[in-house]
Amino acid sequence: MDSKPRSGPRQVTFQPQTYEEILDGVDRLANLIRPTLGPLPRHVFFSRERDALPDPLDSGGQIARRIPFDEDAPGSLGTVLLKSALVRMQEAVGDGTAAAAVMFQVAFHEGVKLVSAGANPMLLRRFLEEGLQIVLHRLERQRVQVEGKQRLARFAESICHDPSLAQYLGEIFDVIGEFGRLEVIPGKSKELEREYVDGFYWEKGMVSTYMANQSYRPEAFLENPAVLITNYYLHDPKPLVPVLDTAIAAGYKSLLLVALGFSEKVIGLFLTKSNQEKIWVVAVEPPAIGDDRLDFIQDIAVLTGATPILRASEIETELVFSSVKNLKFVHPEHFGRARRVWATKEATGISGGKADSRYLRQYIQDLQRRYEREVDEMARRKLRMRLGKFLGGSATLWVGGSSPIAIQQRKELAETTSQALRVAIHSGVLPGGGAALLGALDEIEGRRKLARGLEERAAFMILARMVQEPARTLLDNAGLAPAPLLDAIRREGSGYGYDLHSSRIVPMLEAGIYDGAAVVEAAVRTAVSAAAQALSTDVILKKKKSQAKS
Amino acid sequence: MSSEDESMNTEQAFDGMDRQGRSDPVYGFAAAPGSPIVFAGRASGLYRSTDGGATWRPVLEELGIIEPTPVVSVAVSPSFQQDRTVLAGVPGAALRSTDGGVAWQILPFPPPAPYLTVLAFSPNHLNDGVILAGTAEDGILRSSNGGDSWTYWNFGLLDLEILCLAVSPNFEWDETVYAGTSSGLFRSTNGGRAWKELHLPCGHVPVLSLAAGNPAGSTFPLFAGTEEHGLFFLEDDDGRTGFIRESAALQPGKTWSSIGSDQLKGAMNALLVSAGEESLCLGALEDGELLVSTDRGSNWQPVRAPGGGQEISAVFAPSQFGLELPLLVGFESGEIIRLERLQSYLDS
Repeated sequence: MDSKPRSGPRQVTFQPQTYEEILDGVDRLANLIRPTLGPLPRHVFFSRERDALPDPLDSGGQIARRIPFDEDAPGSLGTVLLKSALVRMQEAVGDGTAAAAVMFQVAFHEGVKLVSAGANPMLLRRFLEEGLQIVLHRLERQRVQVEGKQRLARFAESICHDPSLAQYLGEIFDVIGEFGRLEVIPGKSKELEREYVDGFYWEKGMVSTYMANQSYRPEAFLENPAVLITNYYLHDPKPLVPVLDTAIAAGYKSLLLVALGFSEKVIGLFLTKSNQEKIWVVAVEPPAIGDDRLDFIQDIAVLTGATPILRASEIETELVFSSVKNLKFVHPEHFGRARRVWATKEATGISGGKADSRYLRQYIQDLQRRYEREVDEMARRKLRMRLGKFLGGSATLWVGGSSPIAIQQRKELAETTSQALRVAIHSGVLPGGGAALLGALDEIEGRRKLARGLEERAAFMILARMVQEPARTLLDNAGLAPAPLLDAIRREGSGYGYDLHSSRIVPMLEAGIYDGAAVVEAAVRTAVSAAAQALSTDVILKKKKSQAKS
Repeated sequence: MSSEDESMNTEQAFDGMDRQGRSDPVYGFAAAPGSPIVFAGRASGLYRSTDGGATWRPVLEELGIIEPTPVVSVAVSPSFQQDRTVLAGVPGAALRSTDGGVAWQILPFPPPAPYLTVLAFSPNHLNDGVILAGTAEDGILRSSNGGDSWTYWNFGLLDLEILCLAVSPNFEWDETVYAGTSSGLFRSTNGGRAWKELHLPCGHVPVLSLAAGNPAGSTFPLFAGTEEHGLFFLEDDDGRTGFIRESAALQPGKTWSSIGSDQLKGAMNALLVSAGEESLCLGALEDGELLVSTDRGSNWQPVRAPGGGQEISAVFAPSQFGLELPLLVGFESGEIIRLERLQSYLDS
């Protein structure tokens, strides 16, 4: 690998070519995405390899991800600017990228015209950001919560445009809620199927199938077992003998033992007939490594009321819950309890942990507060999964289809829609079909009339065009003339929009046509921020073609 | 009212002793709508009355069950006239009769054997077949085929000790159920499949009794009786959202109001709210006091019913709850009394 600093001839672009170049790239990507906006979207086919069937895409985020980046192509900066904004947005909220793309495109086009007419781009940026707050405030006032399987299904359908998938996702999220875990698996038939798993479970099963106690399947089922948790690897059976005696003396008939690992000798101890007659032990490992393992141990301890046995080093670093440091100190009060424990070869679950239910609430509230504050997406995901185990349980959705490619596409669609559903449950919904943004139009135009300088007036002109653009594009994509319909919608008032299925102007919330509030907010933020950044770009400096290729 | 009038109106329907002379607490009543048949669950078993609670006969004895089998929960189908279905919770199982309480069969439950504390039919049971069962340790069991099979549905339920259930009068379309637990109140808006906590202003306290009031359009008031903090009332406060769940879930506690706190001291063991007349409530306190409010819980007056300060464990209106209608009162001691006309036990 070449470690020398790269230098050499650079290609410098100044205004007005800078704007032209950015416009070129923005249009290239935004025009690809534009047809996908709305409930009657058109597909964009992407060819992956020679002789392979092209993929039909109908999501702005997917298109932005797939579009190849060629630094030498004309307008590459515009493309990369929009692409990176859309990819970030899709990661954060799962949807709304097409609306963001068309708003950004129109904002930038309008902005370039106004800057060319003499507006100062930096002042324009300031007023755009000020106007953004007005739009966001207006959206906030229209926000409502979405609950119930029918409403969730309608919202899901507005994302995936697949009625049967939407019905399943509506029901699933009505049960598992915002935090519940959903695993989407390719099915083996054309149909969709789902299954729910109640309680706290993880994907590590019993370490020996001889621990199974069900006659009809290799599964262990324990009623009212003791629960003991440790992050030791259990090599030596000797210290475990008094632990088992303590559990037996405390009246337990079964024990769930969670440890980092078990030697053959230790497993042998649990499986001796004389021991199994006295106490049936199911030994399982925790699912995670590193810090996640300690989180898991803490979660199980809180759920069952157990006091974990931890290595001294981890006790010192993680003094967040009480613990003991050696198996020989185990007393009856260190055992947790659960109503039911099941374990297969692959997974283990606990239902009815006998924790102090008030302390459990505090613990969950603390996790929720951390989840709300956390900005790192990976950390948020981990916290959400932990919360889901306490609050939501799990569901599995098997996605069927007519071919392996169709199944894979439907699976991806289910995952994208699931993410949008979580966001909608968390942040609420707005009147769909661009109606929520249209609801901000009167206020923006009122503000434009009061504007004093060129830049302020220009900024509110741009915002007025922007908030109309998703509805305009949606109507255009459906083959309708947008202008008269937008006028008619505006006359009806806030919250009204055009229902493309009934071909009528309706109150969108009452008609069950929603957009995720966080998605619309993210789209307008993304569009304004990216447009402001693009408008304040004066010079492009990039490697010359020959240099880049070498 | 004279004592002579009182004796005419009050009937000691059961003296409260089992065959061994031990006290035989009354756990609950259930009646067939539009029929004089009433069931009572007691420590010694299930009893059936065919005269609105005036006289009682043991049911399980006829099945050949000799040992006393406590029946903590009993429920009658709202479409009893058509399906003749009665359910009774016994330790580790439930019994079902489909002939009005004559023949019974044991219903299968998933292990471990649950201890049913409360049973509730969907008001639309004839069509949806939904029955919910609250348990002492296992949360909520739900059947959607009239009790033939049961599944645990505890998503979101952070306390599995269920003390009481209240089904929405609009269940057919709002699918709302409330569950009082040993540490708070939970609500399901999908027919008992998943639950969310409703935060009471007094924190995580046992909710002993629940009653849904008269629905006004799409909303209805909910009354929740607690162990130590009296009675709470939840009402849709803005009408905009169209249903109480939105406002209460988003602003926990905001729409709750504590009612009658000066008079309602102690555990609120049982609660009745009139179906036709939202303003009429009846509460039974642990210390044997029976109180009536005719202004939706703001002011309460005592019912001068016999009982001598015994702990009341169940109250029930066999036909409909109203001041002019009969009322059954069950005591922890085992006694059951029938008040022919509640109004006559109130000070004018």
